[in-house]
Amino acid sequence: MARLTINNLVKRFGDFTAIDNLSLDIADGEFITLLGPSGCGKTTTLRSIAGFIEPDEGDILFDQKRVNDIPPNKRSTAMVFQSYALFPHMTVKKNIAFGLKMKKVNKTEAEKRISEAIELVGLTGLEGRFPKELSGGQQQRVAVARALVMQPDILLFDEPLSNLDAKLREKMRVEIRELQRKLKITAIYVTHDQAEALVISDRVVIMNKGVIQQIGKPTDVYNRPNSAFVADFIGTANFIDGTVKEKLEADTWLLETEIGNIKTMTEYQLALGDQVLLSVRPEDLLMEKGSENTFQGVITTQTYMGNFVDYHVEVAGKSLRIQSNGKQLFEEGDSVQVHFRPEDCTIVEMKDVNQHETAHQ
Amino acid sequence: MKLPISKKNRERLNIFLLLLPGVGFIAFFFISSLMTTVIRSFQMDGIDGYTIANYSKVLQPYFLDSILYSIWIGISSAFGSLLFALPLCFLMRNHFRGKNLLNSLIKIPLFIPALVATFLIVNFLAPHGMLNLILMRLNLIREPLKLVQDKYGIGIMIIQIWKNIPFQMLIIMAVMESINPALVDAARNLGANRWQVARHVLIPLSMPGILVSVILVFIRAYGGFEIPKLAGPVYPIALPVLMHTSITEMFDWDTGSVVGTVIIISAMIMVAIYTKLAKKIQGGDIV
Repeated sequence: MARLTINNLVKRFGDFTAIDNLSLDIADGEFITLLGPSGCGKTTTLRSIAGFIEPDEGDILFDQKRVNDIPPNKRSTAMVFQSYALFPHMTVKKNIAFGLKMKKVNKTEAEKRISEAIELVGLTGLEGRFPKELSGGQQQRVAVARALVMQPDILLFDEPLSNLDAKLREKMRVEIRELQRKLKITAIYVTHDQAEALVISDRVVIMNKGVIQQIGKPTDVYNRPNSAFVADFIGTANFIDGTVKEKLEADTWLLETEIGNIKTMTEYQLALGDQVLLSVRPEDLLMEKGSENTFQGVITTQTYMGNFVDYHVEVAGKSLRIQSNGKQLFEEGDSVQVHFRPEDCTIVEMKDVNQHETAHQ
Repeated sequence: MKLPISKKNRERLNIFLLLLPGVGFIAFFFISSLMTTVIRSFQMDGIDGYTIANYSKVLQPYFLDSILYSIWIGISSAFGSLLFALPLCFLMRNHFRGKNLLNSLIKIPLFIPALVATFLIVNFLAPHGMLNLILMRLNLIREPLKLVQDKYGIGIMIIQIWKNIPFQMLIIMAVMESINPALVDAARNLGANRWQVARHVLIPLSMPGILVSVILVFIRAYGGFEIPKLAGPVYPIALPVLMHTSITEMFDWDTGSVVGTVIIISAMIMVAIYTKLAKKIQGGDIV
């Protein structure tokens, strides 16, 4: 168990900057997810923490102790790999015992920890099997047990569930979460699957092009994305361009937008005339008449998905995506009222480009 | 014209005809010549029918010495070159300056015919060759070292090793490259240092390649002719040299075919051992 601090980390591969001045502070026992598209630097960051990659600049500290110069085999991290990386020539038990053997843990202690780990991940009875004789989910469990048995300060997960089918993935991510909660080990989890990140983490770090876009609790990053990138990457979003027209209350503003006047709530300090980008989640758009932010639209497409219905609704020439539960079914061509609450539309970008760019030149 | 045969048989005929040039060539020249040698070893000049009398020669001291000498050459060359090839394979896994240059230099022996290489190295190692001259100039030795035509086969071994290092490396590196790099990361992550990674992960997983390379070099050295002919001593002589001398100098086809058969059978035994070991390794019993 340890606190992990990353200060101003930079890693370049030739001309490509994989990590661009990244700083991050992870509390002891916290479960952090690094989320982002491929090439965003999340795996490079994870591999730097493990010691496989030497950063060009910046420091990595475990409990305030700099580990940059410590080789991977001396760092107290344990990693679960995307390909599981189980040793094919060793049985389940030998795989799990490998790290203890390397660290010369005494026999009785090792045996105890191995059987605990095996029991913890539910592999009892399979100790003598070889990895190729196990299913994907079982191999995954061996990989987790092999990491846990080390009692590491920091657990690292490199997209560990991406090779499993959807059902198993959902089951395993809950199991991993519960294990981590039980053992209270600091965990860093890399994934490109936003649903996985939301389910599993205490905090989500959203990365793009080597830079952290936003750090926050799952509810924060989902409900209050700080950029169009985050809004778009986590879930789906309707983006609406607007201009600040009037201040209604301390944090409530009236915007003039491409679909009409919208009332929004924000912590940002806005000025009249600012151009902004708004984001509204498809499930926050309701097809009913409301007291404010109500617009007239026509349904252009309707897709029935079972647990919800996916609509595209044209409002003032702009297509909005709406997801609603299938209780009230509309047909294509139906005329509908679209409404959303002021707190459900978020300003994700200040776009008064003209002012800023001229100011910089 | 349509042949009066069923579709299935026509397909079979097609496959047979397609395979005929390749398989037929091997069957005819390879198997038939092997069989001729083996059959000839059971015949004796001036005697009708078959006999095992020729094989009594195997038990004579000179023949036994030849067998032991050849086995020694085979084993020492196979493991001797592995001693160099394996560390070089590990070295080649890393990135360093001049890697490509080293890689091409190492491969040179592959492209130099054994005969040429033998002449060059024999000259270098000879009693008045460059190596001995240098060592004597440096006052490291007083008398020239007998490194060629010696009864321990040191000269043969050196040439075989020189020739077989790149050959073994090619085989082992092909296997090593197929090892998932994440396994090395995993081992490092679990606390293994570089030596432990090699010992517990890379070597066990390269074992099929190491085994093939050792057995192939054994057979090459055991059955090779030019090198022991030029760099070997007067006595004992390696089996292939014995075969050559028997046939071309003594016109003794009886002995020649017996030696040939012994070489063939030894090779087959090696292949059998290899298959056995390979199965065990794949079953995960070894290591």
